[in-house]
Amino acid sequence: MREDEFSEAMGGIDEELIAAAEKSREQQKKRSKAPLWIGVCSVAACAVIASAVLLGMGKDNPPISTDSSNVHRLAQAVYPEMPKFNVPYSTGIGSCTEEDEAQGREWSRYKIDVEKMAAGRTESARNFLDDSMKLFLSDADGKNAVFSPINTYMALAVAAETAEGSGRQQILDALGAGSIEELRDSAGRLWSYAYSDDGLTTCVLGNSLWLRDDSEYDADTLQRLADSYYASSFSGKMGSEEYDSELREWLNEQTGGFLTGYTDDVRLSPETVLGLYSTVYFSAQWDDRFREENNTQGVFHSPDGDVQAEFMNWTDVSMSYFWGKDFAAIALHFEDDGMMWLVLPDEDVTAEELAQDSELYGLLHDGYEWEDRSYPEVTLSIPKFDVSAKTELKQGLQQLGITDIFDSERADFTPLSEELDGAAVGSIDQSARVMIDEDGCTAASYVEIEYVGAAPPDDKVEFILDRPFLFFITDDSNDVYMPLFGGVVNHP
Amino acid sequence: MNDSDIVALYWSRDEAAVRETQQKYQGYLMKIACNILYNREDGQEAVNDTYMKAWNAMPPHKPDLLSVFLGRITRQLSIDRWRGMTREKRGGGEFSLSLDELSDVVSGQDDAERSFEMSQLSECIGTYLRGISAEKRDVFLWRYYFCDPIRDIAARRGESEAKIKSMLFRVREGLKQHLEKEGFAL
Repeated sequence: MREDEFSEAMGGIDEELIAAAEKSREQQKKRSKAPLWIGVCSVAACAVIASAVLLGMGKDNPPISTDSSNVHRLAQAVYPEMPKFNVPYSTGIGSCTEEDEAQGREWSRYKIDVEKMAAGRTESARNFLDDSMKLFLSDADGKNAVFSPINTYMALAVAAETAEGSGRQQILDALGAGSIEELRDSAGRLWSYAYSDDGLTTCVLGNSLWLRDDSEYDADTLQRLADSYYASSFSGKMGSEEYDSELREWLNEQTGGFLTGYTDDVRLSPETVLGLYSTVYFSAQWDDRFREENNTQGVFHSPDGDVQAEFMNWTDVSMSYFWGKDFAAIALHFEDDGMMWLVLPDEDVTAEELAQDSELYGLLHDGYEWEDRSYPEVTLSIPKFDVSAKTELKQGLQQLGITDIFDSERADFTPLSEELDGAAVGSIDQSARVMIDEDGCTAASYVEIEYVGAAPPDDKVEFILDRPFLFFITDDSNDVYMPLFGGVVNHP
Repeated sequence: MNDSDIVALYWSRDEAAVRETQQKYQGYLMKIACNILYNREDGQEAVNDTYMKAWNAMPPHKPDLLSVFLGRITRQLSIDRWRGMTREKRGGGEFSLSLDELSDVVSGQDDAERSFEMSQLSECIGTYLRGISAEKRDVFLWRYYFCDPIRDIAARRGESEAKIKSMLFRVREGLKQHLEKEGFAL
């Protein structure tokens, strides 16, 4: 078929689709030129969640494979090879060779396939993803908060594989899975969807189990965890410096050395029978960078009083602007995939209060299809921030209905080891850090602005994040709801 | 004047219908025509022909969405006119550039023994577009239905041209796979 005939066929598609595209086309104010700022801004974020289970000692366990040290690797997760992003082919920048074309097509097909594979897979887990964010972000109490719902989802999914009975069932119910097979399937698809190592974006969800070298563990379960959840399993002497050192090394490797402030203190006590560690590492560049020369020093009105902060600024930008009853929001895109939502509560609403607002999560879910949206010229001013937090998840998870894995009378971890009979999860903590910055420099004016979230904006909007705000890192596909991180910035 | 009043004028055979249409939709239709024809005079002729065709079509037609109805006529007339141009005159426009991009999806060869109706193909394209995000769908239609320049789309959305190209590329690839799966040998 000729291209013009195909284009002619485009003229015959539903008028409803054309009308919708026509409407959004007219709504979006045209600019005579594209934004001049392009480039990089690095974002790195990672989170660690760990649970420790206390139990008595057991028998010697022969390692499946041995290293030279006393730490043995029982099962190894093998991450998939991902095609590399090809700049000339996918963006039209530079000359494109046949090799570029082949690589570009391969990358594109990979992305399409994993998106299709994961489409709709978090819908059943949406309540958990949203409710856990509501719970842990609203608890910031004037401090910074960072929470990764997808990290918690993965950690609990791995925990469900090691559990049986009511403990497992409660996790399945909380995560919206009808069975362990369904959860395994969904978690595997989501892992594959989130995973990125294409030279453009790095996103790796890591899982590992740290087992006692004097206990026996079910090899099939460990292999299933490696195959379905990309979970590696290690065996060593609990409480030994060598084992702790290996664990820290694994955590630092998985999180790109970004969480050393927290991992330096990680220890497995001699009484621990199982350590389950899940990590998320995410690193991406802004689709359009901030210029450092546009930065300004300004005042951030934190709950404890005004503090000086360095603000990154944009002017003369056309972008999507969203609003709800109590907030206004914009989304900064990363190169290729994903975005960071920046959400400013109305003046009379705290970030913590807004974190409990279901409408906010509706925005994250609906994204581009959010109805209260316009396309004004936006002047953005955002403080550079580097926020981290360690969150105790146990109490919150109990509020979400996961109670029995913490109760030694009810917990059952025998699918992993008969010797875990009577063991219970002692604690689940999550440590997370999110940082945004830019590179470059200039100056721009800092303008304070006020607006009402529920009112439609004028053609020009100044979006000044000079008081506590929320951020969320999500995927930008409407087919897969993937909230990687959420946070409250009370102190940039 | 609202669309239903304009349509009523056509139905009552009132020549004010054309004047009102021109007043309301001239700019919109010229944009479609000029994106395809890359020439203001040719575009103006296609738009004038649109008014004539609309006059002849209403009645019996009573479009719910007058803008889409008129835009479709302009688009088809412009494509027909583009086909009648010499190769030299065709070059350079956004329509030609968008067709180059669509070579990802089709073979580019004449297919005398086509095994499907164009309406089936249109329906299948529509089905695919309904299955992707509104964001991607809009960008795709802006480019391949309205033939908007990529730089305009990028500026409109406040995103880089590279991002728009990458997005379009992936939608084309997805569409191609969908059409192949549905049995369209293009």
